[in-house]
Amino acid sequence: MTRKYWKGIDELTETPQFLASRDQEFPAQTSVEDFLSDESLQETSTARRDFLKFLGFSVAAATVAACEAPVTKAIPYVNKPENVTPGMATWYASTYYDGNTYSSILVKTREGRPIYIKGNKDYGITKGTTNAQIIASVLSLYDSARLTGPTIAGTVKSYSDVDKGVIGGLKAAKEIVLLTNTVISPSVAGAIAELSTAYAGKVKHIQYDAVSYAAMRAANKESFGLTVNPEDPTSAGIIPDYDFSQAKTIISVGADFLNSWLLPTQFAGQYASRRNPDGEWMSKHFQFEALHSITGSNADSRGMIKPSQEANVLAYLLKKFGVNSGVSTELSAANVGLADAAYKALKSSGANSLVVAGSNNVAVQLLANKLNEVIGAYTATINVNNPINMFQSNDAEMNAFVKEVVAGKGPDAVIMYGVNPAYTLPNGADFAKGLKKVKTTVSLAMYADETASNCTYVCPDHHTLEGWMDHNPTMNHWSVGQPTIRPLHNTASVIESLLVWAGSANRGGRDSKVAYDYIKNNWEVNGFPTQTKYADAATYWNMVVHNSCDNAPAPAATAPAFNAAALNGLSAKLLKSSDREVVLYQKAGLGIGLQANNPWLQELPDPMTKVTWDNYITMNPVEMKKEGYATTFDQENGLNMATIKVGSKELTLPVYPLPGQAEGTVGVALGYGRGANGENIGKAAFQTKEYGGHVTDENGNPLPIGANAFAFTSFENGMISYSAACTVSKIEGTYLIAATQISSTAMGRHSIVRETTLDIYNSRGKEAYNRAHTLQKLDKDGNHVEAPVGEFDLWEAHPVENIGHRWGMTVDLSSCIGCGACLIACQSENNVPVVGKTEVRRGREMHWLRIDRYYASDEEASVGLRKDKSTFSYAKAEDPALNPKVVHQPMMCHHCNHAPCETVCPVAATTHSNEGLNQMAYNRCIGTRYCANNCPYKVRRFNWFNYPSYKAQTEINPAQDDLGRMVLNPDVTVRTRGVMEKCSFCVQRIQEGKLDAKKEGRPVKDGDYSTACADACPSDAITVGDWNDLKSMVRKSADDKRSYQALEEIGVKPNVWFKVKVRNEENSLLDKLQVEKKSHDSHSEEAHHESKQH
Amino acid sequence: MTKMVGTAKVQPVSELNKIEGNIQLTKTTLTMGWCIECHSEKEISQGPLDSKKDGYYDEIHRRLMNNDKSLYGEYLEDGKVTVKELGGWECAKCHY
Repeated sequence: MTRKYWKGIDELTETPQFLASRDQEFPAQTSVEDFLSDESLQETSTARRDFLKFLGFSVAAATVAACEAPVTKAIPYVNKPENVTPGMATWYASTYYDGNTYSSILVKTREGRPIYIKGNKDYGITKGTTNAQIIASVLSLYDSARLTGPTIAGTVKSYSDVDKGVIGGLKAAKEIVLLTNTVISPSVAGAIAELSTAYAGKVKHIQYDAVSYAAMRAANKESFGLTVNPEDPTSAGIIPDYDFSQAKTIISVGADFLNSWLLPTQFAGQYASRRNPDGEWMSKHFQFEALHSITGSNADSRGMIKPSQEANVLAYLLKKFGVNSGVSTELSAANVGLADAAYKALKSSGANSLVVAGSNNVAVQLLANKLNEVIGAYTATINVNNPINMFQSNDAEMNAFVKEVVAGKGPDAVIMYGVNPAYTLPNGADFAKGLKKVKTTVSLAMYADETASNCTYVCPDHHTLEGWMDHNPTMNHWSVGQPTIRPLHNTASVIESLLVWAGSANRGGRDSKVAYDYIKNNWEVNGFPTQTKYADAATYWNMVVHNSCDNAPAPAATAPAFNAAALNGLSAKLLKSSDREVVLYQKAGLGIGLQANNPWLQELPDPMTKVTWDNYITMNPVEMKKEGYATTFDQENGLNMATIKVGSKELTLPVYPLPGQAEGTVGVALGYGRGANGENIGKAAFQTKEYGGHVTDENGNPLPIGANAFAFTSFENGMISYSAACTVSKIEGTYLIAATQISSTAMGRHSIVRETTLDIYNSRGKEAYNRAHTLQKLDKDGNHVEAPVGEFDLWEAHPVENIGHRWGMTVDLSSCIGCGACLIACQSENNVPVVGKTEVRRGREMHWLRIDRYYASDEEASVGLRKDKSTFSYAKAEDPALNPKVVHQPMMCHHCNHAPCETVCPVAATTHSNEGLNQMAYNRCIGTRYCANNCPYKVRRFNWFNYPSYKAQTEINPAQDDLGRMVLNPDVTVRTRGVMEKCSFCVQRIQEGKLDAKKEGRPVKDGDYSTACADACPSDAITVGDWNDLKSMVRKSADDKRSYQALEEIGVKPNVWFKVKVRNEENSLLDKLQVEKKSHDSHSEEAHHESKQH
Repeated sequence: MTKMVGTAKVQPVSELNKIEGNIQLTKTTLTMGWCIECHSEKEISQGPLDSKKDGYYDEIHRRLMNNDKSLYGEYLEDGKVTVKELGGWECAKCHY
C-alpha cells in the first residue's frame, strides 16, 4: 500500500502557482541592494503589515546572503620559492627551549607555515621525546595577542626610538640588573658578555627560574665540592646527568621525573626503555610522594608521605645502609614496609640504582646524594662529569634583588628576558609596583604580560619557531634552533637587541641576519675547532643546522668523594611537619603557565584528574568524605569550594578528589591565574561565558582561569620552597568542574584493562594473565566445545584479513605513562576543535583520542580484576582505594571490522574500507548520532556547533582567528556543525605513506606510515602499521602473548590491540587469581556470577 | 519536489565546450566524477602481475593470490584489476 502525503492544500489541488514553484527550487529573489535602493519606499509611511513584510524579506535575504562563498585570500606564486611545493610538507630540525622544558624537535611546515611539531628521534639528547607543551607551542606562535613590535609605555614605536631610550637609560644608570631565566645559549651568553663589557662594571646578571632547582646545585656543591666552574669554588654547584635507562631500581621521593622534574623529555624515554617486560630486564620503581603524580601513577609501588617526611624516607633508607644522618626516620607502618622493600631492591641492584628527590630543600637533596653515594650510583646512573646546564636559578640573589625592588631601592635599570616575576613571585604585585620606581625598565617578553606591562620598554623576542637560537643543555651537547617561518611580527631576536644595546650591532629589520651571523660565527670560531668530524667550518655549520645539534663524547662517570660534614645539622634545615601541608606542582598541560593562553593545553585533560580549564585543591576522597566535601560531581552539580591559606596568603578554589593523595596533604597546580589584572596575554587565558565572551570583573577586566599558586611559594632556608604548611577550610558554594572522565574505576570489568606482575608473566602461561574469551559451540560431532570469540560471526566479514592492507595499532599499557602528548599531537594533526569549559562539562569534548585513567578499588586485586567474585560489590567498587594502582589507557576509534557504528548509519556516511579502516564521509553525515550510540568504545564525537565560527568559541577556538587559523593542517577537513567525527588512524598519512611506496615501486614497510599519536609517544607505547605484512612491527606486536582486545567478547573485531600491563611488584592476590586453569570453568563461572548480579 | 532532468553524469570537456557561451576548457574539469570514473576504468595491471617482482602492486597481488583466489578471480573477470576494485572508490581514499 502506497500512501501519498501532501505538504499542503496547494499540492493537493495542484494550483498553477504550486506547479510553477515546484519546478523552481531556488526562486529568484530581489537582491538586498535592489530592495533597499527602491526610493519610493522611503516616501511611504510604513504600516505594520509592511514592517512585517520587511522583516520577512530581510530574514530571507540574510539567508540568501549567508550562502555566498566566503572571501578567500589566495595569491598565486609568481616565482615558486625554493623548498616550497604546494601540498608537500617541508620539515626542519630545530630545538625547543622555554626555560622550563627542552627538546630536539622536527617542525612540519606546509606552504611556509609551521603546523606540527614532533620529537627528533635521530639526533639530540631527548631522542624523540617531547611533551604536550612543546607540541602545542606551534599554536602559541599564532596567538594574536603577541606583541607586534617594540613598545614604549604600551604604544608601538620604532626600533630606533626604543633603542635610543634604552641605551640612554642604560648609560645613565649606575647599576643595571639583567634578569633572565637560565641562559643555556652560548650565543645569548656571548651577547650578555658584550653588554657587560659595554657598560663595564655596571651589569649584574641574575638567573631566575620560576621553578627552581637551586637546592640540588647547593647540595652537590656541599657534598662533593662540584661547581659549575671547577676553578671557582664560589660558583654555583652542578646538577649531574641522570640515566634512568641504567637504573634497575628507581626510588623517587617527590620527584615527578616523567612530567616536570628537571629534564623529563630525556628521562621519560630512558625510563620507558626499561619498562618492557620482554626486555633484558625491567626496572623496579618506588615512589614516595604526597601528590599523586603522573610518575607516581606509573610506579610499581607507591607510598604516601607528607612533604615534610621526604627526608624521613631517605634517612630511613640511609639508616638501613648503616648511615646515621641525624634526621628522624619516623614513618607510618605502610611506608616502613615499602621502604624495607625499596632497601632490598637497592641492595640487590647496587650501583645500578637511582635515588631522586624533588624537593628544593638542600637537606633533602643532601640526603639523596648521600644515599646515591652509598649505593654507588655515581659510577653507573649518575654522571657528575656531564652536568645539566638547565636551571641555574640563584634563589638567594633573586630574593635580595626582589627585596630591593619592592622597597623602592632597586637598580636604575632592569632588563628582563624569559622571566615573568610579577606572576611567578609570591609577592609579584609588590614587585610590579616596585618596578615602576625603577628608572629604566626593559622587557624582551613576547606578550605585554604581568611583568612586561609594567615596563617602559618592551622589545618582543621571536617565538622559538621564528628565530635562530643555540643551546647547551648538558655539558657535552650543543644544539641549534632554526626559524621555520619568517617572523610574523616586527619582533627581534634577543641576541640582536642585546648586541644593539651593547653598541656592537645595528638593527637588521624584519629579515635581520644579526642573530644568525652572530650564532654562526660563534659556532665556527668556538665550536668548529673542538671537533674533528668536519674539515671545514661551512660544512660543519651546515651539518649542525641539518641535524640541529652536535655533541662531544660524554665523559665517563666517576664517583666523587662525599664530604661527611655536609650531613651535619640537617634536621634544622628541614620543612617543619604540620597537620596539613600543600604541594605545589606542575600539570602536564600548563606547567608553569608559560602557555596559559594556549587553548589546546587548557583543554588537555589532566592525566590524573581529567579536569580541563581549571586548577583546584587536590585532596584524598577518603579525607574529603570525613570533612564533608562532595566527592562526586557531574554536569550540573559542582564541587565544594574551600579557602586554602598559607601564612597570610589565601586562595579560594574547588576541592577535587585525587585518590592516592597523602592524607594530611593537598596539592595545587602552578601555572594558573595568569593575567590577573587583565593583561593582554591571549584570549584563551581567561574564563569564557557559556555563550561566548569573557567573564569580567567590575572593572570590565576578564577573569583569569584558576588561581595563581605561586603566591604560596616562600623563601625558606635560602631556597624557594614549593611546599608549605597550610589550612583548608570549606566555604559556602559549589563550583562546576569540566572533567572528561568522572568515573574513577573500571568497576571490576576485566575485559577493558588487564594487568599482571612480572613474576606471573615470566613464570606462567598466557592463560593465567591474558585469557582469551571463548564461547561454546557445537562441533561436527554435536559436542559442546569452547571456541574463541573470533569464530562467531553474524554476518560476512569484510575481506581485509591477509588481503591488501589492514591497518592496525597496538598500545602497550606497560609503556604508556599517560602523559597526554599523543592527545595534543592528534589535536594538532587532525584540526580537532577546542570547545571550551562549558561544552566539556556537558561531555562534548572533541578529542579524537582520550586517555582513560582507571584506579583500582578495594574490591579489585588489580585494576578491573575482582578480588573475590562472591563478595564483589558494585557499590564499593565505585570508590578507588586509598592509595590505588593506576592504569592509563589511550582510547581511540578501534576501526572494528564488525563495526557497530557502520550498520546503524542510515546514510552510509561511515563505512568500512577494504584496508580495515572505518571511514567517515563528513559530507554525507546527517548527524543522527546513531553511530555514537552504538559505539562500544564511545570514541565518536559529534559537532554540536560550528566551532570555527560559533560565538561561544570565539575566545578559545584558534580557527576563529585569522592568525590562529594558520595552524590548521590543510590535509584534514575542518568539520562543521551537525556531523560526527572520530579518529581516522591519520588516514591522510596512510595515503601519503602508500604513495611514497608506490612511487618507489616497493611494498609499504614499517616507517612509511605513522599516526600523530605514535609519533608523539615518548615511551613508544603505540605501534602502527600494516597488520597484513607478516614482517611488520604491528603484526608481531598484535600476535604477542600480552596482546588482547578491549571488549573482545562483543565480537566487533577491532584493529586495535592493547598489551597487558606488567607491574614489577609483589601482589599476592593476583598471584592467587591469575593461575592457568581451564578457560571453560572460569568463564562460565564468571558469566553465571554476572547474571546473578544483575 | 524538484523535477528530475536526468541521471547525473560527468560531462567530458568536449561536451562542455559545445555549450554556447561557456569558456572553452583545455584541461579536464577535476570534478569528483572525473576522478572516480577514471578510477573505475584505470587498471593496475593488464592481467595477473608477476608475483616474483617486488613492486607495491606485486605485493598486493601476492596477498590476493595467496589468500583469496576467488576474490582475485572476480577482479580479473574483465581481464584487468582496476583501481576501483582495490578500493579506489572508497570515501577516505581522498576525503580525510
